[in-house]
Amino acid sequence: MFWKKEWPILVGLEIGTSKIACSVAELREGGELYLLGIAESPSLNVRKGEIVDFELAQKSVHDAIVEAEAKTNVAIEEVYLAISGAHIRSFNSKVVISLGEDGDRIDQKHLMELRSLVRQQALPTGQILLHDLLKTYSLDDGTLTENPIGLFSKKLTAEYHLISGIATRLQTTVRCVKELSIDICNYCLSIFATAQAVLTRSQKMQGAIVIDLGAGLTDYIVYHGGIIVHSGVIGVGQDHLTNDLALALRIPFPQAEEIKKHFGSFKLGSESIKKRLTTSNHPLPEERLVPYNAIVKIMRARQEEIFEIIKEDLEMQSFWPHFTGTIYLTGGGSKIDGVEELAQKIFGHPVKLAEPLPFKGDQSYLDRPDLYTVLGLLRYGRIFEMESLKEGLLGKMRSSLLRFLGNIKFLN
Amino acid sequence: MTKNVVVGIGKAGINLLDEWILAEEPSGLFYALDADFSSVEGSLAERRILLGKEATKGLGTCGDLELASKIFEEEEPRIEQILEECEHLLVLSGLGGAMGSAGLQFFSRKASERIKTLSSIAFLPFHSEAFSRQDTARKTVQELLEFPHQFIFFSNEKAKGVFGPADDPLRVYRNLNKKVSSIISCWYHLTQAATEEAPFDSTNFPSLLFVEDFYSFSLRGVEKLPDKIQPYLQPAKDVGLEQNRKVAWVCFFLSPTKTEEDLRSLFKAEESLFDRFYLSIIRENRENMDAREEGFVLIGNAAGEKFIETEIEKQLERTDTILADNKSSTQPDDGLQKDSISTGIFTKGYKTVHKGVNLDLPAFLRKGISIKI
Repeated sequence: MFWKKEWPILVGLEIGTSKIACSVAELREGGELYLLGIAESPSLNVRKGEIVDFELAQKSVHDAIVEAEAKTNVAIEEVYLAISGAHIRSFNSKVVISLGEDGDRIDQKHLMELRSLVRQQALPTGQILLHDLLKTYSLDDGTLTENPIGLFSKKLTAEYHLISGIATRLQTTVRCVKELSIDICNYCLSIFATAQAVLTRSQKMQGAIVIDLGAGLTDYIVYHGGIIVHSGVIGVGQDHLTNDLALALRIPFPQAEEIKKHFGSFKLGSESIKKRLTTSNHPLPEERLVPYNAIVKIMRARQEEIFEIIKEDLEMQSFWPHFTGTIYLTGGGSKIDGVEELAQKIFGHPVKLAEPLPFKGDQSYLDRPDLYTVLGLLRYGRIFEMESLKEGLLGKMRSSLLRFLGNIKFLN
Repeated sequence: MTKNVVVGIGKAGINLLDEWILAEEPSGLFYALDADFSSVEGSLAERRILLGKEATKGLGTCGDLELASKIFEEEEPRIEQILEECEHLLVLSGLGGAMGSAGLQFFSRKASERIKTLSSIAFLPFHSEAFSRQDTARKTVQELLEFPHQFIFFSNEKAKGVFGPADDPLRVYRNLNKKVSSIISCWYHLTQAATEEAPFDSTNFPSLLFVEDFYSFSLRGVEKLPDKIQPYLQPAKDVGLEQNRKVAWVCFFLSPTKTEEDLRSLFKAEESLFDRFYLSIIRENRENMDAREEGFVLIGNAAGEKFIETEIEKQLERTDTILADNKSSTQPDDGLQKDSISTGIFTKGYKTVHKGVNLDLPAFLRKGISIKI
């Protein structure tokens, strides 16, 4: 029997390529998150963040939720869902409204008008808007502000970072959860959630790029001057490193994964060092001695390429020449030896391994960068929950209705 | 003499011409020229000319640039007639294919022999297209720069992600065609409106523009124009004008109720942001166009030869790398079994392709990194 919880419960769910993770937390007094636990279940037939076999993937999601319920004694009814995939696109957009020749005092309705304008932007056929993240407002004299309410101007410009994805591909993920009778409170781009878990406000102000080295995908998001200026997803992840190893060494994928975990590194060593390849779960037909540098070269070629693709994309953005911030690495790939040095060599900026922001409750996941996304989902959910609490019962009913309508739109 | 003639050469040129005819339903002389019977036959152009009937039997040149050039030389009398009978000529083509590339060169040469200014809109191939097409495009651009005509080059590659998803080049190409057809309208209206007293002012039409960004918008009132255009001009400021020599071209369809002077004054402030700023105002005369107030902005780089050469060289370098990588990936290396290149677990599902390279193939193989095991 599940306990009746005193505090509102937040649940984050990520359908990742290597695992399904489900985090559960209580939202305590003052908006403090108290982590009750995280459950994981291996992903079955999820490739590059997208479901390949619906039934198998749904079973994995079911297992993760059941485990999370058992672990935390919470009946899970609704979740904040992380969304990702190589089809995700992001772009910046500006919208302008005129406030009359003599100018006008800016109020909430003007901001709503701008947001409604940006949401009307035409997207390529088949794409839907996932996020419209406000970057900044600017007045007629070019003054930038985060809150223009009460100011006078002849025109008001708002710049947004828009994130869209292919509807049909997203529907698969959504249905996978909804068919288990789990309601979806809201969707969140995975990397946006990850950034919530690892970046403080001052880090965002100083400039930060979070790169999530996930199993199937590599996601990145850029904060410059406290605002999101760019984000991207590449359909290449740590599974590609494993796959390269498997193909080069002619061994099965699970075995290559184990070798990557045990011997994987991006640091070249002496040519004479050899590693005896033996694995516990998948014994090789015969023991082999493989030069350590061969493993490094195979992995390094792939990781370098991933970083170079990101850098190429960043170099095309207008903020890049002025970017002086730090690059934070997360995800399972950030645990590989030498990844910081490799990233630093390619980007030419300070690189650090991301650390999660402090939270109360179960602390056993602090050194699990592959779980930072589900931790971030809780922080993302907190924002919505706090707003609902502020708005009271009526606000909660309104947001439930909006969510219901949103879900219908998503599924149609 | 016919005032203005639009000629679509090759598949890309004819596609663009058809797109424009569908959108505008213009009256006038339009030619579709190709060596491929199916392409010519299906065109909406009033005059369709199958070239090289003897040489190709209507099957096209299959990318043979030499053959295409020969066909144009042989068909000279038929083609020259087009130049003879018009005041202004707009040639639409794709660069990379044989007929489009050879045709545009041919028309450019003939037009300069007759001391006529020719305008042209041409597409550069996607990076993922064959090496030979990239090479043909590069050579053609170099040849074209010798002529004093007005060339606007649209890079298909740069339209990716703007007019459609980067992984769907067909959609990108179709949508780009639709947008570019508005540019033909601009040229058509400008030349159509020209009179003896007020001839076609070529300063209203870019002489050489390599389009990087393209925006279109419609307006309810002209007074709102700067508000609308300002956000689009911002990126040009950011990239630094000194190195890039930014050029903006604003084409505007103006309803008869607005004054041209008002519109010009609105752009005064924007002009300073660019090294060169063209403003083409197209006065709508037709009654049913009263409500039409739409414009489009092209922001490009007109550094001229150097820029275009660099751009094409960059494309070639990328293609070379891909070719070299593919070549190296097919040659077995010591100690590594590379006889059959597999994508392993990524054989099923969506392929990850970046700039024409299948990233699911092992990186070390594509990069030709020697690994001894």
